Amino acid sequence: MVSIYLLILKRFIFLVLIQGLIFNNFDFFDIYDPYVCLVFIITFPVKVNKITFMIISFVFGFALDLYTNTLGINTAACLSIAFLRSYILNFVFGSFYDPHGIKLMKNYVIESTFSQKFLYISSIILIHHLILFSLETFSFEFISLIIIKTVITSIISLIFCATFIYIMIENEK
Amino acid sequence: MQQIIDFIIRKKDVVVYLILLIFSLTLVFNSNYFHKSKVLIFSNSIANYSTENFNYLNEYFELKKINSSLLEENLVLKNQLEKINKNISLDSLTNINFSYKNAKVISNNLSSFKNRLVINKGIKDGLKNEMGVINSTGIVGIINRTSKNYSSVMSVLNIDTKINAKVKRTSHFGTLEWNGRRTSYLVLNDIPETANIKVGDSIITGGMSLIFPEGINIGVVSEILNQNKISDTVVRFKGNIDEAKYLDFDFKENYLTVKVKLHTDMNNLNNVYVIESLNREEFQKIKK
Repeated sequence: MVSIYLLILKRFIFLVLIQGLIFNNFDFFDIYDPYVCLVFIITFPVKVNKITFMIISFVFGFALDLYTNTLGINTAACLSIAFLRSYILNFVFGSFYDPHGIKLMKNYVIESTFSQKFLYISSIILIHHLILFSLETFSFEFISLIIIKTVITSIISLIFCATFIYIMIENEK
Repeated sequence: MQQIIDFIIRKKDVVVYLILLIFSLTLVFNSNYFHKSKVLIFSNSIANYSTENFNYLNEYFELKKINSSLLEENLVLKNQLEKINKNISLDSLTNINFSYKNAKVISNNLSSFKNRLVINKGIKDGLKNEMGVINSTGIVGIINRTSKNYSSVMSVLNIDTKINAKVKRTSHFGTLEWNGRRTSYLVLNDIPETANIKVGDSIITGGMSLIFPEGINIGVVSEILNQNKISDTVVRFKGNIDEAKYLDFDFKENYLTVKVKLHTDMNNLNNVYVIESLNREEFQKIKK
């Protein structure tokens, strides 16, 4: 169990730094940044109980907020997807998902179909971005802009996150 | 009572989630208040410190670009000095209203709706809230928060920023805002229709507040968006004119919306200047 927390701590520090220092300045077409930090929540061990998971992702979001000089918006978005993740896992993987976490992330990646992987990652990214951008502006005036930005940023984030997870799995083998 | 406790224990995930969510939402909506807290200032300065050190590495790759921009600015300043030397008057020496301080951009964000920059000077160097920040080419933003060593700047690419600006040729005033779309364009509102603006007119700061002095470059007019001339409006009326109590003229907008292309390249900002107004306190006293 200790080794799991050590792994989480390693990923926490690595992803916060890589998001805050490198990917926040990526600026595709001037205004779109990939959110690679979501790999932390997507690949968080299922074994850890849900309340600990939510508290850790709360702190994770707060650390991201420090790098973007905002307060609370990343925190609320990360917390919300941490809460929703078990429902999404249940919905996407169905009977394959085990809440006790005997299966490893490797099993999920190898044994599931492509559409399951795609649906799982893309739904987490979409929900996160929607919460993030709507909390940031918080007005109906920009609603069309929020939706456009959510979709385009999600596509970019999806490509980056998928690549990142693939590299992680390759290294684990 | 027992049932309520049972319910809470059964749904403890939801309860913890709601408590944490309420906490984070209070952070969002009272961010001005919480930014003054010591814990946040400390943790924020750690983040800024690591970004600053990481940027040293990045800076080496851009030395060539920085050097050429500084040379260009030097040339402009030298030309200005020549002009001033020719027609110098003693009055202008005693009437200094603004002083400039240089600073370096540590982190620059373009991807959000409320973009902010961080610069490497703070209260220690005499910076305060609501000081203007400019670049050698044009305006950059307004300081909205300061800590001991760093300050955060609301860039012009922030949907909350409103800057007083005027058209150089006709000197009509308007309000400059960002519409959240492209990073090289701003929108100038509230210009009266009679102003007769053309594409290519240059826009400068208005000097109505003490944040920016008058006459700093902002950009040029690239497009006039909302132009309905009075002569184009046709009044159509059917029926007996005596029965009509009032005529409904369809003059929708008497103000123009103008798209302005920025001179400043917000993508690569390195050296910036902070403008300090020397008689700000006096101005604020009289404004009350």
